[in-house]
Amino acid sequence: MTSKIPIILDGDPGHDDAIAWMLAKASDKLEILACTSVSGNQSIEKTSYNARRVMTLLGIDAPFAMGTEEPLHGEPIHAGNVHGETGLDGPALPDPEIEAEPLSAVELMAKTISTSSQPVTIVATGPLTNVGALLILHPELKPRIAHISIMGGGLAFGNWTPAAEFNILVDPEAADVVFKSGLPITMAGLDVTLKALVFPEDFERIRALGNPVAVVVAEWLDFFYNFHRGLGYAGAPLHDAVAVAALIKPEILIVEDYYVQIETSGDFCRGATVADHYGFRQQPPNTHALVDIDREAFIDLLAEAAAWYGKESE
Amino acid sequence: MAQKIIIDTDPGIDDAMAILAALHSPDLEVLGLTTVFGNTEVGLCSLNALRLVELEGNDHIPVAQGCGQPLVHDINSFSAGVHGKDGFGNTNLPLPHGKLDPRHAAQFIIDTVMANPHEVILAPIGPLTNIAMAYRLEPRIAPLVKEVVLMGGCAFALGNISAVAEANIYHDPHAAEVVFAAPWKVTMVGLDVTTKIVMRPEYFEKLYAAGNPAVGLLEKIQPCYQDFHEQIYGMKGAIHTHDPAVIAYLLAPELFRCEEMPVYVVTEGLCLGKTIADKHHHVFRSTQAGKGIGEESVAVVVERPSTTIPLGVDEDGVLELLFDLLAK
Repeated sequence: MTSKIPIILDGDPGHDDAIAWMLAKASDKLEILACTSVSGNQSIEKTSYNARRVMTLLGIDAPFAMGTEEPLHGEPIHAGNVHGETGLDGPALPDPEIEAEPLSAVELMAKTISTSSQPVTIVATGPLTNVGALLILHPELKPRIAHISIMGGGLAFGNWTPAAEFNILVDPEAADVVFKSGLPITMAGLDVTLKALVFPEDFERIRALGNPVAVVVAEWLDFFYNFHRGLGYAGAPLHDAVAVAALIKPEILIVEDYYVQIETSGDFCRGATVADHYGFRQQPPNTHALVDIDREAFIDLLAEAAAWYGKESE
Repeated sequence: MAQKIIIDTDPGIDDAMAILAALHSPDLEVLGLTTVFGNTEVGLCSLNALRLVELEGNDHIPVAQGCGQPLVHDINSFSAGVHGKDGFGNTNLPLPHGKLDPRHAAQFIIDTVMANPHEVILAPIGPLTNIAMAYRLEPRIAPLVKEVVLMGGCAFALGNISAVAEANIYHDPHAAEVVFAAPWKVTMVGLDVTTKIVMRPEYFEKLYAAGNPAVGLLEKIQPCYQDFHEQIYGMKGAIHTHDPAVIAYLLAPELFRCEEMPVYVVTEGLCLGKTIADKHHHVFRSTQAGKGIGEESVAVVVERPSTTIPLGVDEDGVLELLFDLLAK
């Protein structure tokens, strides 16, 4: 029996963050050591409140700490148009039973990493503000970080601007620190996450599981899809869940290794993840870029995870 | 009546195929070739352009030489690895007999458009330096040009000369920015479709069997281009069809599925030469809101005209069309 991968969940829930966390909690391959919030899909107050509600719903029994509203540089950007006024609109959720620790997200990460018996994997499904700050403030912890699995970026195009994906655009300077860190990075960018589509019939499969978590997940998908349908999508692209799936079931993903740089300046390309796919820069790859996914297997993974919560409550 | 066109070109192996296909078409009247640096130096490109018009007795078609370097920055590189130092696969063909038109390419374009108002399509298949200069010298040509149908850029595809940039745009991003901003109709035939049109060794074998001078020349110069595609993409003798796709578009636009959106060109940084296809009008909306995209300001006050961008293509249809023309 192999030991579980110890992880920190760092996100800005957010519908797809919440479903990513649902996947992580249900997996017997992962052990959640801590959760941290970041400003992104909504303000830090809202994403933190959502994180605590989601942890309560899912039964994640781990310390939680709040990040900051401001990115490392520039003004915050939020995505209320995608995730609603609360950042997690849709189904009613339980009141949070988890309190925030009296320390910052970065310090909780540092404490968790330094006291873990094994190197820790960070799953970052929001802007990279906390992870970047951690690497700036605690470079000595790098050897204790096994892997950073992020949702962010895109090799050929963006979603928040033509060239930039939202999570990277919100804090390109933090992303730059992370991609220059030398730590192993898995990047679930738009190349793969726009293929991780959950179709309405998949929502029904999950809803029919009937347990309270599965029903909430289906309703999150209803809400999330409603926005994407307006953009012409056939399903809900479950961006953040791919960063967790990469740890649980890497065999359902296609990966290509590239040297990726973050564009931090410019009128058009700030926040772009520029992948040297021709090797012109003669640098070793720093990123495992996910480019394709077995969609059916991904849906099975989601449905099995949602079903796990039914067994738990029996 | 045949459609009048000026081909602005840096021949170039795929340029040669495009030009020969155009010269073989009864539906296109090539009013002139204008040359630009790109695949190799402009002087060598001009020699190749003259060779192309002389090959099958089209000497009456003028060749005017244009810009030898980009508008702003230094030449970043020639594509010698792709097209050979002479632009024709290092075949060092005999010198042409003919002479260049005495005018600069930009002036030739201006004069020709003014003499044929609303009738001429500009078909640039190299860097856009001459086209930008023609517009800068004589902005009145803009409404008189019927359309600009260019090979270049990539809307939602990766680049072919850098991570994110296509070669023709990368060679002169500032000129490209002028062309996409000018008030004329632009169609950008870019990597989104040209990499989906693949000519394979069997195709060439059949094509060369036609035995005319055009395919004879292609047979000589093509191996260099095939070698490049093998080295970079492992295509085993197959090639992407870049410049000839413009000719196919001119003759049979119904073979292409297009969308329209404004295009901006990145003139700095890691993404130099990237074509920003602003499908969701981010740039204009953020400017209207008084904010830049991301956080830096973008100096745009009115939305620029939309560019037509082929995003899907009937590959077989295009290959057949080009085959029929070249084999003629």
